[in-house]
Amino acid sequence: MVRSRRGRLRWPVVADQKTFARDAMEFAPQLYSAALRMTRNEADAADLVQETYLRAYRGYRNFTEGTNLRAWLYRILTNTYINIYRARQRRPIESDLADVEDLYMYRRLDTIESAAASRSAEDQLIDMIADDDVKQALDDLPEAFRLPVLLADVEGFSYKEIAEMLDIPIGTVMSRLHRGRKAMQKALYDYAEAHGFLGSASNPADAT
Amino acid sequence: MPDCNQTLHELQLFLDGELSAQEHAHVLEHLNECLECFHTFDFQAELKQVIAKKCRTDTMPDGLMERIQQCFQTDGDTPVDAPADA
Repeated sequence: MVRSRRGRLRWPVVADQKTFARDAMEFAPQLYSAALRMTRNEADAADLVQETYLRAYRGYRNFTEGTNLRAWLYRILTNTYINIYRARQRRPIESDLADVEDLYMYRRLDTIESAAASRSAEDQLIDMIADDDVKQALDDLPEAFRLPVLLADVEGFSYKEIAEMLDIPIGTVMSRLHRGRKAMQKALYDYAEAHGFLGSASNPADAT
Repeated sequence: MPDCNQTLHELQLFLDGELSAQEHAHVLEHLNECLECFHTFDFQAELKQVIAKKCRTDTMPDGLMERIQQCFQTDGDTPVDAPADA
């Protein structure tokens, strides 16, 4: 608190650490879920979220009240992940994606649809893919593509926000999103096929 | 009215809410007229929603919330002008 010229006490405009827990903790479950997609490991995800909150708590004074607290927390989460956990993870080098046709899944399903199913069945089909398979498809994306898809599709951030979080140009965000989504579609299509969700039309054995 | 190629080109921007109001209206205008593009957009929108819905179903491990609250208390004496960004 600071004293104004008239001697009255007033709160400074900067965010107060005391209000931090009240305002920021509600985002913990979604931050954990995002952390799990980043680290792909429950123990690291829990540590990452804790470290994110600690950094946010310490830096809360620098948060401008009235701006987007959720985006600010995700920015710290992303930075913390990139700076600390990424280096730790021992995964094979994975930096690029194979080229996949535009609108991959849609076109493949469209072919099947014209043979057998109805339009609404196609939408239901995507919904039939198990949560774990969708998560796996996202987890399998190389990080350069996984983070933009996570931040855009799962967390709903704008290109501008994602560009700031990842410190890359907006054009790069767009092209990585485009390629990451195509790769996810291919993976989801393959899961659907492997689980027999595509029905008789996709199974040559049934065509006889 | 934009043609199909132009419309498909803007699919990603449209679904991500990154078009200007005017551009958005142009795409909508095309989608109202063109069933084929509409189905493509509809499918991609559905896919985006499904990804969003299915990738946020994890629950926090027991005790993590308390662990975090605890570390604020033990951190209570840290200077508050530490850098904001990680």
